[in-house]
Amino acid sequence: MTDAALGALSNTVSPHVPAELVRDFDLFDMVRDGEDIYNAWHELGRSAPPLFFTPRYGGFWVLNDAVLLEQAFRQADIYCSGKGIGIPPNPPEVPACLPIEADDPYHKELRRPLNIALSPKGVAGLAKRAREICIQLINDLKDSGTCDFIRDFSLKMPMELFLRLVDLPSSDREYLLGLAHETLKVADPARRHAAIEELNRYISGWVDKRLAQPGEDFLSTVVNMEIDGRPLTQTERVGYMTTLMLGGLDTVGGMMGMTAMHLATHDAHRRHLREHPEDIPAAIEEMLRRYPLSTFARYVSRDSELGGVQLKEGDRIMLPTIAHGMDEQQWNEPLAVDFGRSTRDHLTFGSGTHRCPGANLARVELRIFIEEWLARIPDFAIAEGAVLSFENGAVTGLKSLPLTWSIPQTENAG
Amino acid sequence: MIRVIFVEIDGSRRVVEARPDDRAFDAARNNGITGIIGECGGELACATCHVWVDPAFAAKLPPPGDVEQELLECVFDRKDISRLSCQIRLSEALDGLILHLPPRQI
Repeated sequence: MTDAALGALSNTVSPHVPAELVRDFDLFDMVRDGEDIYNAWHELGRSAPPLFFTPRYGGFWVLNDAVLLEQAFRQADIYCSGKGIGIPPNPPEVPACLPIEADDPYHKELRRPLNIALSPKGVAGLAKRAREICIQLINDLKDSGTCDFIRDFSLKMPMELFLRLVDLPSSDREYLLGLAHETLKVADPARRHAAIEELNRYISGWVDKRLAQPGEDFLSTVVNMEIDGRPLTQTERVGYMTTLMLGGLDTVGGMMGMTAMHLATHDAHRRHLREHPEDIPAAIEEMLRRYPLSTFARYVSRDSELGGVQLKEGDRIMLPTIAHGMDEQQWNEPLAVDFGRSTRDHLTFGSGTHRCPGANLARVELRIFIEEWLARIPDFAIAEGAVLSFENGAVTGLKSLPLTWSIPQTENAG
Repeated sequence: MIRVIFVEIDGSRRVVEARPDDRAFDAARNNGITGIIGECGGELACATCHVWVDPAFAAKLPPPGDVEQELLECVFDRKDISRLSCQIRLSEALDGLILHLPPRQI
């Protein structure tokens, strides 16, 4: 960026930000089509300071260091979520994404039913359905010898599971996937907000139905829950459900996409997992470490010092989980995939009080996907000539992943 | 230092040392006890740090609170002596605490 262009943005740089820490970093313009976003974050990790400031989107600090990321996630009373985690910030009329856009103790109370729904036993109940959905989706496409993994598989499976959890019609799947894409992946605020509003109207309609006629599903649980002796407001109910849908959708879908991309391009890893299914859980952890997806923001609630830099109350700060996975101080050769690596303490699910409540479910979905896919399509590759492109923005992912494989010989084929 | 003894389902024992005010969960994590996951990092949210407290020590622990009770409903292999190890605060009085690891967390 030229000095003149940076100058035009400089009204978002507060006087307490040291000039040497200002970088023109744009979360929505990190890579062009065909460029690898993990390489871009890896390069940023090497070239930019551990904590720097970008004037984009109203001005944000950006954490670019594994140790500082861990610290900021854990100090949720200083780096708080209750004033919003969106980049750019959502306007005040958008319902808060609950429970994440809330601070303790209110946040902890809000999360109680979610913790139970996604507990070990809760997830075990969903796993059976997950396997059915997974097998059905694979059977639908395996005889064609080709698919777009993102469109045909990796977003459908988690959306089907969400719809199951809250007992909404499966026929709404494609409509909701479209809205989710607009909400999460589009930089243009007008389009994003239009999508958020439409999604909220859709959810609001179902909230009203479950208030009138509660069922056994998780939507009914949230709609009818009380907090500190009062029912939730309509805004809280809608915000909760919207977050649940978006939070479990293209995060899990995106991770499946990265896993499929990796296995399609690494024959030895594919073969290893076929021959040693007992190593699938370790492989999943390494996929999570190598391919984090999300970048959300926090609001600095009081003057504080982080990594030797003075932050002021009211500052906003980005917590990019990818920067953790790509940090050379944290991981030896971070771009390399090693299923034998000790991946404990990766930050892909966050840390501290806001740590992803769906982590157990995400792992189960990933395991079922790898098991069932390799059992039916043991070898596959990226379609010849395909150019892989990554989404910019808060949650990255592959825009598409064209795969090909030999059509399996069936018993009646000969 | 306070000793905590973790007993695997096959009967094998690991004796680890902890500092006063650590939680049993911290003692497990700091010493590579893999039978305790603690997905949420000890925030009383995930129900994956489940242990069975040896009956000899059960009376020495304060009873579980409401949220812990709620989460204990969601673990596998629940027993009367089930606790979440993130809620067991260690002290000299608990030196030699024996915690049995259930066969699975998730």
